[in-house]
Amino acid sequence: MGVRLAIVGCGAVAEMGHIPAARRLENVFLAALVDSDKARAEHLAEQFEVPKVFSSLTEVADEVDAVVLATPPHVRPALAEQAFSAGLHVLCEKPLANSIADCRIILDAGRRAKRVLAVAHTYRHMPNRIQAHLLLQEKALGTVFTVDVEQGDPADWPTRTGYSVRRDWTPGGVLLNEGIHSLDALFWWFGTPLNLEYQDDAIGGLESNVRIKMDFIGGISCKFRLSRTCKLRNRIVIEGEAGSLSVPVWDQSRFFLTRNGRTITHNVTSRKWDFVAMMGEQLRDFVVSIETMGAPRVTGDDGMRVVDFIEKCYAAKHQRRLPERAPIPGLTW
Amino acid sequence: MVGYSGRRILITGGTGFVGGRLAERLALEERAKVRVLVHDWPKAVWVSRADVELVQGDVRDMDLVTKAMRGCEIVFHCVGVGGTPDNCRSINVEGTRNVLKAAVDAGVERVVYLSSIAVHGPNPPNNADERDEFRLTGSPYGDSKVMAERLVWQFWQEHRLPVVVVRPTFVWGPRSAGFTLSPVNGMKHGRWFLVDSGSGACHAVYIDNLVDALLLAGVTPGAVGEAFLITDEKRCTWAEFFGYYARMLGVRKLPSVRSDVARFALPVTEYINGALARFDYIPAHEPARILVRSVRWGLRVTARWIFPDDSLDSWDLLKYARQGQLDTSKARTVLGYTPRFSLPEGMRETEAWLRDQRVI
Repeated sequence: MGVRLAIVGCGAVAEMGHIPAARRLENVFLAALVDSDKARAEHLAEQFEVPKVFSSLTEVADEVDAVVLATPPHVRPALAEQAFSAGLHVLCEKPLANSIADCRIILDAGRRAKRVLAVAHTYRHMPNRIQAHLLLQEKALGTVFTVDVEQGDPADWPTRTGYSVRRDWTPGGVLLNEGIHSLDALFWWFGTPLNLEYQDDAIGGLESNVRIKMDFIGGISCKFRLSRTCKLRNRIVIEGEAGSLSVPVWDQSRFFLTRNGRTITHNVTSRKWDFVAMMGEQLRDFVVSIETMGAPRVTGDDGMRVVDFIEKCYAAKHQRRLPERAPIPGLTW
Repeated sequence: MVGYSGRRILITGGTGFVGGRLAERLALEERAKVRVLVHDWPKAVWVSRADVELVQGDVRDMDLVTKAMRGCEIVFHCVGVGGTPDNCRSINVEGTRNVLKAAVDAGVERVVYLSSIAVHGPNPPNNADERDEFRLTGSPYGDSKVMAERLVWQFWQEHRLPVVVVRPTFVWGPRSAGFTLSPVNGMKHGRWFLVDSGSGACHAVYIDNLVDALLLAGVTPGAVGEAFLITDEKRCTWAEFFGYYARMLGVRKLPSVRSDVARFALPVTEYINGALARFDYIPAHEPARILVRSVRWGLRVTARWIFPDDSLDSWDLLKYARQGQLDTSKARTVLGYTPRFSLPEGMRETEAWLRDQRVI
């Protein structure tokens, strides 16, 4: 039968990603949906032909081997603890948690229970990012000097709860909710940054525009621009002594490698954007980890590393006094 | 600071352009406790940057409006949409009725209603002031604003609900869709036309000038039961106004249409475009599919040949061709409103925003 799975939290990401992905995998049996809004869970269960519906995680614990926690982040530490206590494996949506303290609660619970904890940094499963990682490992660019990241589009994610803009639910805005993907890619490729200079446009609330400067080991300097109010170039450009590599943020199908002044487009898959396929790859990786008790591609430590960095960014901003006059909307300070 | 410190304020339309800027200034500069009614969460990415409370709601839902208004002293009702007549009526008119009813029930201190110059039609007479008549013109937006404002005055008269009405002209600046983003994007693609070489009178209002007026309207003692037309300090021509955007983009000369020609051509193109919008059936199979699509394409090309600016409608034509003054002295004398931003100053801020947000 494979792994019996429940998805906890029936918001947009469950509907658009986790549920259809689980339905596609042969060795995953999607046994139940769980949501405090049972009517919503029933609606999705009917739509995707999922046999059972529950309103709390405790009710489903005996029926499954693993859960996907697709709830807003502020409730995940308690849910993860419940799941691990019941002996379940956990795939946790990003960010792993809202703070380092909450991340530790989740990691400790997983270690105590000796169960798999994977984190849904879904873009790690993009074929072009995996290829980029291999190229960087092979030193295809020689010594890397600079990295320039731009990620931005006007917000349109059909969130049901609006958690990513609600300060009572989350301590961070675009950085914690969207920027986490590109940060995770950078840390995967270059390790943890040595320092940071941080600016955002929050004036007492949550940021929607961000600029970060950071340096990685080896003298790699990185500029990072992020927005959920405007369209940016949406690419990660890595410059090295032997050439440059440009990886699109949203287009998983290709990357561009420039060497000796010549740019070659490398096509790695036929579909530009296939969210369900990415989520499927993530779930497959999670299932393999469960079956082998090996580490998933994105571990709890990976999830905590990004949250740690983001917490440091916010701490740097909080040292500054708010301006007296409202700045031009979107301008970082 | 004007006098909002620690006071609980409800803003409808706070995820939008005017309401959003008002919310962030009330929270940051006035230290008010701001609550914003949110209909569409992704749109809250601007206002959520400020220290505000976001509550899910919809002005069409009386229960949600009532709940959102609990404990609030002052209400800024800034919701206003364009689009279909149904949308305009249900949100602008019935939504306003719900807000006013809830305000009466909650016993709020004051409701400031964001109306529009549109209640006076596209070309009010020379030296028109707040006493100029309301004009129903057939425009879904304009007519809905008239009906909504009539409701406001009805609640003032029948329920003694303390109301203040602010009627801005053409609001521009960072985040303005109608008078900043549309013209800039139009000019980028060579599709922004002046009317009569831009010789019409432009009475626009910069967003922060308008917000200054709204802040005054919320607390000025003599403002209750009054309406105020709000503009910038000086009028200019539309050529001067749009010329700023053209220079930002490096566009040397904006094309122009003649209003006397457009007056005849526009009804034809509006009819064609309206018919295309109404009859949008495309057959599923060839050859009917290709035939229908060809006819639609042909009609669109013909409409553009008859009149090149498909963003302009009859209302805009009258608005951009209008000559004459507006009398906005009442806002100065009663509210003490003085526009802080001149046209060049506002344009500098706007250009910084446009560049930062990669519009230009």
